[in-house]
Amino acid sequence: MDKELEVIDIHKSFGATKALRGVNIVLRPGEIHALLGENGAGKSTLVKILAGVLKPDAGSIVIRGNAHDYLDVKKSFDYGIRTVYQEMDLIDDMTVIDNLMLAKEKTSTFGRMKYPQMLDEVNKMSKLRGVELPDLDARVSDLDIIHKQITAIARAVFSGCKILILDEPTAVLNEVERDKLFKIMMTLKSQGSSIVFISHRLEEVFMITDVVTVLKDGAYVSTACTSEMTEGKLVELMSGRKLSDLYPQKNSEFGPPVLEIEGFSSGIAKEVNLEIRAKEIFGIGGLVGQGQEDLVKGLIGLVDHVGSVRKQGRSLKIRRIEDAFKNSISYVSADRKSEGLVLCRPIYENIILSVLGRVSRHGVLDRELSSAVVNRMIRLLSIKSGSEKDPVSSLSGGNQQKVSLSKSLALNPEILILHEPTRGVDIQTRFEIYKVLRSLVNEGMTIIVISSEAVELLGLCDRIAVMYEGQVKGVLEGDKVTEENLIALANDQEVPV
Amino acid sequence: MSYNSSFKYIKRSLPLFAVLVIMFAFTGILSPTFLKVENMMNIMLRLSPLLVASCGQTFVILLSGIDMSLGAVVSLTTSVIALGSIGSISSPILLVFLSFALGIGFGLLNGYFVYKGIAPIIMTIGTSVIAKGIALIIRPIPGGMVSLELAEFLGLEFGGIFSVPMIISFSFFLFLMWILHWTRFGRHLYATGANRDAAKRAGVEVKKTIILAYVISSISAVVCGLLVVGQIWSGDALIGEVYTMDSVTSVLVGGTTFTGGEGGLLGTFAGAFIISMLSNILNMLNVFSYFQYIIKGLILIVSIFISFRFFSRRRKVYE
Repeated sequence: MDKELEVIDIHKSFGATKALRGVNIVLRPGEIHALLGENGAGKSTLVKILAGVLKPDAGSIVIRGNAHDYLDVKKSFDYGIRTVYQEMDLIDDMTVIDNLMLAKEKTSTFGRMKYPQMLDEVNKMSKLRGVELPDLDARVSDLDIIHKQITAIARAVFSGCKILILDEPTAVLNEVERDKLFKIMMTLKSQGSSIVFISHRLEEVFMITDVVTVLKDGAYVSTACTSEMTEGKLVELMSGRKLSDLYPQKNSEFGPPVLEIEGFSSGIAKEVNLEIRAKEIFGIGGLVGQGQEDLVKGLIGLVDHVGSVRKQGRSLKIRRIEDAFKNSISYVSADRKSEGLVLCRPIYENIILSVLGRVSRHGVLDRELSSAVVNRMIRLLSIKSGSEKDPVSSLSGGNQQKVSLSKSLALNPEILILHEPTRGVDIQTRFEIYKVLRSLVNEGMTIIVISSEAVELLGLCDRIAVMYEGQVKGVLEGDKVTEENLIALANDQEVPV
Repeated sequence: MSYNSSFKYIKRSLPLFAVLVIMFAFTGILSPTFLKVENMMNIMLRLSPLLVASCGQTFVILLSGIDMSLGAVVSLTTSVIALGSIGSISSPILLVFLSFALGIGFGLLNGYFVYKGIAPIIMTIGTSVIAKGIALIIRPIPGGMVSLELAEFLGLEFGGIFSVPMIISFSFFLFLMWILHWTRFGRHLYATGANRDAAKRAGVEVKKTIILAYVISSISAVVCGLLVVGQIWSGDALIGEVYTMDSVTSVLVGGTTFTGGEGGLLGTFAGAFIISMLSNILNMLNVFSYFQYIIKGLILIVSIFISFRFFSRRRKVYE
């Protein structure tokens, strides 16, 4: 059999929005197929159509020679299509085995759970599919992220999976974990399963996939063998923009030190000494979980800390996040959905959320003052929306991130701390965000960026502090800002100065 | 550790039993009559209906719901049983059947509309008002004719320490314990309570699970009502109301949280025991009954606070 799945000229509209305009994909058995596109390109709509959740307006889906106008959830399941979403759909408080067998429990006539039989089945499947499972009696909430992911994938593949769709599975993994995931993907591939792989990280596309399909604005752009592609070409196809243009010009002149940190410890960050200057974008990098997050959360009072922090020579006492605001330090969380935004409320309300005091008179919201702030932010970040009164949840991921950013910028901070500023954000929006950040720095702001993406740190930041096991191993600067040096420091190796 | 997900909750409720023992010891010292067999029988008598009601309430609170109609169904049951006869047929069995039919009806109604998206507290307050209306129509003032056989059966004591209410409530508790912790339905209930969307996508029949949970709650309200009849030998359209809040308090004291998917019945057992002993202790210490309301209200608030603050999976790491 030549084709496992073929999607022919699929169209789908939501009201006036055309989500998909004639998409074609051919998936062959044992193939890992990358599905690329910026946010809003139509990837998730296509995934939902394959999962049988959405019904296409036109076009057809051919699976192993059987043509269908659409799939419903049951048909999709019967054909062996399994989707692992980003949220992973696990019940945190249940054991691994209860999750694996959820809704497939083996029970006696009276409904009593038969664990021995369920264990047999899971162990059999785990051997057959070559998936190494975490302890079956462990609670999912006690697992680390990769084992959660493995559990979610195992649940999908143990039930007769032939086509596995992975929606950004690597977004939250570090490199070691990612390699584990890739190993499982290769095993499944060798057993003849087809995999659709969605990721925003192009380097991974080259590491694992055979074929790549690019979508842009709901339209099919092209399909090619991954080996015939280059990163630059993919970026161009996805965004219509050259990779070299992605990052704005760096600065060569900097201001005086703005933030001096000495003997600073918070959480797992230990004895950190840093000096951060005005007019610079200062990156903090390293492998995931080496204390970067604890360090900045300590700085803004979300985590208890010891040590001294001086801003423009003046010693700061920051106990709570309100103290950080008072000292003109603002923070943008990595998790915009749960820590950054009030999704169900209008865009303008979110923008003025942290400056309500400043745009009110005697406790009553002043329309002129607030709309001035809102308009300034919408212009500055070119937030695209139908109306500023629309809820934030109606925006694409990229525009949500812009709103999250503008909420902090509305405070006019002198120091802005960004945590994963472009997580889940498409290339076009990244470009716009980088440009705004650079222009803010040129106007005198100091920006600190934590990112798990090496490429982003290298492209965006003037200097990069690299952390390892809670300590700053070194600060890269000037022509020392290279990928080799970053990786070396991140893995506790020395870098020639 | 065990493969069965519920065991964590069973283990977690063990400290509550320590609290129980301390309460026993403390009051035993303060009041010499407390540990006498008659008083223990008295506590069991008070515990029985509350235990049954709280077990049912546990199922809906595990779904992050609440059953505000529980007390009204208790009252309705006493009123129906106290009809004595329907037309010319005077059969206590028939009246018991009628009570269960009404209870299950309210449970289905609650479960269906909660599944459809009405907030559980609103929906069940609605049905509680309906149930109260029906109860008041058939029994405007307390009284009525309870079949003597039924009333005597429900009050039967034997062997010096056993009684029918105790046996009914303990078997009911063990039966629901089995359902919640050892069956497929129990797994589905926890999964639905913890993450409804994920459960649905995994193939759990969410609708059936939710409706069944509310039906179980209503059934336990009916059983609770029968036990109340055994104590008052009459019908009273308002007597059950206390069981709504007391059952919620017992469940929360027992460590089940309002956020859903966390908790279990052993904790509820301890919770119900603590609440009913508390009434007994306060009576023995001659605390005026209106003050007892204040104390119970405070305990409810404190236990909700504790459950949100320390036990909830969704608590914030920082504020």
